[in-house]
Amino acid sequence: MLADLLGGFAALANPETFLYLVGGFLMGLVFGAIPGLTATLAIALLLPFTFAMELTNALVMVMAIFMSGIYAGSVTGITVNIPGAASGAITTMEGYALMKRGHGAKALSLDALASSIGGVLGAAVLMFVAVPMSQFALMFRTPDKFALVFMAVVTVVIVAKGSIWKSLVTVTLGLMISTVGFDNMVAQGRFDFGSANLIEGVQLLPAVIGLFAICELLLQGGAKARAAADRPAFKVRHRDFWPDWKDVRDIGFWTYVKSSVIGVLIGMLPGGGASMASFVAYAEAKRVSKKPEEYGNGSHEGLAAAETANNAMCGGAVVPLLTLGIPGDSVTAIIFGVLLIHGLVPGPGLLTNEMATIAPMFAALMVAAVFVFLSVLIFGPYYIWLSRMNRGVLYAFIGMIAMVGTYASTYSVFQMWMALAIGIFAWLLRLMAYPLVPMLMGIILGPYLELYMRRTLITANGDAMAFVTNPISIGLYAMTALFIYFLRIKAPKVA
Amino acid sequence: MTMNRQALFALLILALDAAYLQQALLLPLPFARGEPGPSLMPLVLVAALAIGALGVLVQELRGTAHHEDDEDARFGLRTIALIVLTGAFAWAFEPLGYVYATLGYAFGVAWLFEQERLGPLKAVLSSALISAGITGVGWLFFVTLFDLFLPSGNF
Repeated sequence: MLADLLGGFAALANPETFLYLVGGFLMGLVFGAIPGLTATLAIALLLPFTFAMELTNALVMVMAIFMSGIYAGSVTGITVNIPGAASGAITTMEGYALMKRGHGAKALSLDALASSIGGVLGAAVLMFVAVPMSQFALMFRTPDKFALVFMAVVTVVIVAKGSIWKSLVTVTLGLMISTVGFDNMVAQGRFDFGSANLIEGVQLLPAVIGLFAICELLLQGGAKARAAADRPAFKVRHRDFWPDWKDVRDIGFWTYVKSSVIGVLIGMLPGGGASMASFVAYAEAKRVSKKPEEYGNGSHEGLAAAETANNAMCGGAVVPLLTLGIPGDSVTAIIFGVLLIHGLVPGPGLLTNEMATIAPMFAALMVAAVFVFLSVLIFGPYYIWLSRMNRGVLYAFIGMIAMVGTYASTYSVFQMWMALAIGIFAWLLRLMAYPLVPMLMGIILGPYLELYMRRTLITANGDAMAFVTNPISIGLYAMTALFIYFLRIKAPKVA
Repeated sequence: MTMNRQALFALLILALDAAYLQQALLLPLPFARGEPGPSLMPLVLVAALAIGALGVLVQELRGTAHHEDDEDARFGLRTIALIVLTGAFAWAFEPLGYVYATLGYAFGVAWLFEQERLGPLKAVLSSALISAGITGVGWLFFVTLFDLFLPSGNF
């Protein structure tokens, strides 16, 4: 196996393959950083082109997009308070707070370093413990999956800044939005008002664009020019993007490792994803932190934990795909398609029979993670420049990309209206100081929460005790209770 | 006990909750067909939203709510103009096509921000240049680079 893994790295030495790796990395960086465009969209657009590509090049490019797309979701979050992807929401909260205090370069460097560490550790796990860890994931039954998603929903509510009642309201609104459309277990439309457009439900793309891009545009409409001018006017040089090792020591080796483990484990579970990974790692880091009062106000530790976990998730997410043939999220579902196009069937036999073919994929994930750190050293000053961009240019561009991006990925004017409607509602919520991130998490997690709840009840003939009979479920509920205790009941007072 | 805008908004959320409940009750009731059915989750959510909104309402009426200002969130007439512009963009996107609709939208958005810095007249020229640039970049990005379809208008 080791020879195959080394062969994977050797494959990247081929100049053509290396160019695909760099091209994929840059493509993911652009798509991830632009609000409304995602790594999923980038890989989906790439899919038709992979027919004509050599398998190794296709796999390498896809993995590079995956890694850089997840990382880049935080870049515009830190610089202009609009995460390019949902997974950058926590990083946005901490990173933008640092940006406003004039520590944008520091936030971006810590962000990139954490992403690199998480990405490399996630890829290492994928390489060496993929099969044994997928055996553990196999032990999760439906009630356990429900308990996991339930824990994520509770975590979202208790971790959000401000009133817990407001967090409960917005996460529930998100969950309600996820129930719109055709019921996937019985032939029944819900909350669609007879509209052919609503029967398909509210898609994630217009929801993300509405909640973050359109809402930000509308908020800036109410902000005075001075507020934008208040953004940091410091000079940044490439060397400013070298992380301050004192900060890294303060964050602590254990925070990186623990967040990586959380990211990998959550990535391995269907429906886990980068957003849940970053939330859980953030909550755990806050729980054990010596400076919990800094969380929500520009915490280095919180930023590093969230960002380490969401890039570590990339390695974990590929594990069930390759070993069980189960794609856990939209990106791995498209990677599934890439493998099938080239005649490889993801599943238990794949790693045993085709390790040499798959190995470049693992190597690409690891090298792309290293590229993340290098990219901030090269492009860092230009990320900061985004925040000082002329407001007319910046918001006309964001408005155009958000609306046209919605159309280009759905070919539906209705989805443009949906993005606008969600944006207006989100703007109203922000005016009333309601947090938006729980709402997005509700939209993402809602389908899984409902599916696992109903499946559990169906298999137990309606007996609700089925939720609390498996040891794994009980462990997850115990963890949820611990989170509530440490983050809310025993939460330290903010100075 | 005073009714402030936060309390009024909580009442609005409760009204939304009632509307959602009314729609949920149109679905078969849970376990009516021997399985949880499509209304179970919505009914649980109705209860959760009611608890959250009532929590906000009670805190506001008792005066125990802790208000944290969201420094970025302010109401402004420009916001209304942006909503109208964005709605008009969505409405005109297919009939006018990408180029004309985007030229108009980007000009409008840019002018709303530029007039603050340059004054209304100077901002016209600056916004025209910005909108032309953004329309061109968008076309290069979506059509030339990624070969995506954008409407060319019903002319």
